[in-house]
Amino acid sequence: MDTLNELLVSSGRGNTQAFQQLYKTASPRLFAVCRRLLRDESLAEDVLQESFIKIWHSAAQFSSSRANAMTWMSTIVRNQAIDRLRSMRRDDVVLDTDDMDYETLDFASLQPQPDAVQQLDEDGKRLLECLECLKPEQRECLLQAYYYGQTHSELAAKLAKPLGTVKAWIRRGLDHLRECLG
Amino acid sequence: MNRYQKPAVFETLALSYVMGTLHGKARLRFEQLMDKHFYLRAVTQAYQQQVASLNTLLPEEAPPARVWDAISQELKLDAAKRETATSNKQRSWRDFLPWSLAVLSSVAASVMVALVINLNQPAAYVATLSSPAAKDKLALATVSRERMQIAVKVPDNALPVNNKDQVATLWCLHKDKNRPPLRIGTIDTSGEYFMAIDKAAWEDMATVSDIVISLEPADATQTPTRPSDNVVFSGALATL
Repeated sequence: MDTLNELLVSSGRGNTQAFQQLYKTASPRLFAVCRRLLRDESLAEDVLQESFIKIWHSAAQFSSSRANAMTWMSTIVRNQAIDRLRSMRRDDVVLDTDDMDYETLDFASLQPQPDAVQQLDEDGKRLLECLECLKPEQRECLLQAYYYGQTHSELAAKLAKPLGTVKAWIRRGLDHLRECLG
Repeated sequence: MNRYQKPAVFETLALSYVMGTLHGKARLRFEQLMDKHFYLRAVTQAYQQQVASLNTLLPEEAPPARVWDAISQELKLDAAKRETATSNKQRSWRDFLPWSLAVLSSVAASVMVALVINLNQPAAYVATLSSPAAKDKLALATVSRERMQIAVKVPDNALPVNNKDQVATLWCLHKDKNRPPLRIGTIDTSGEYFMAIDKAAWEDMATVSDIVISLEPADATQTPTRPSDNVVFSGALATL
């Protein structure tokens, strides 16, 4: 992670080679974020491209004292993807969600693989503990929203539950998570 | 706006924003509020830091090469690279080291420094300070390792600006209650306070439990050694 911070700081000083190395190192994870949120490979490529252009232009504002590079870049990528989803919903563009592999949460198992555990920092381990304390339906809704950007209505349709029930699950899940993380 | 200054409300909104459960206009409205209010940004950033680990669980997927090609073309990186290479020839001998070696040295140096000096140390500490008298006011205290600085921001009109008999005083309270409170300094009517700290003061921050702002007599014959009962803001110091 220190390496990513260094590369991002160097990118902020206009170092193109550092930026290329930053892309090479970080893009596989950030592309995975895009693919799940957008569920369309071509859209995911577009958003990843837009995001890295934004990262290049904003890198000088990055401060390693406030965030680590991956968190900072993930935030940019997620916001770009969520903005794209929002504009598509506004324009009534229907997403092709036939690719059901992208609907599962198997990768977000609360008993992750040892190599994934090794990459988790204290915050990550604490987060998993807190998620484990939630009711399964609350956890499912929060993780589906995080990874797939699903709205309350989409979740209600997917889970075949009333909208009010799903909203209550999310609200209570957020309350419990906030108290646990606090 | 007062609604958004209540921790129970804005912390839940911030977490909802970070988790992706805040949609449509509500998300846009929260982003506009974040642009205006430092404490909303700080809380959101803290949650982003905590929640970002979820991305670590995703299996990586390499994007096709055309994505980098498009980025490189859009930013004209090849031209910039050539320009950098040309200007490098005019620099001192140290800049003639291959870039990879320079970065490697830099990273290695950072890692060494991190291992030797900063092992298990946070990047910053932050405290959201609430007021027992004005529930809708929040102050923020940050201690930054990068800047080696304590910074405090109190909302406008939250300090008794017209009271010449009292002065707002900043304190650190230690986790070990046997240690006396540490008086940091006084906050003037601007509501902003910045103080440079040294390495020892930074390391001592790990022993601090709370940040407190109290009102102390302005004409005290002796410098107070602990906060008076007139506490105007207080909050727990947490790592960021």
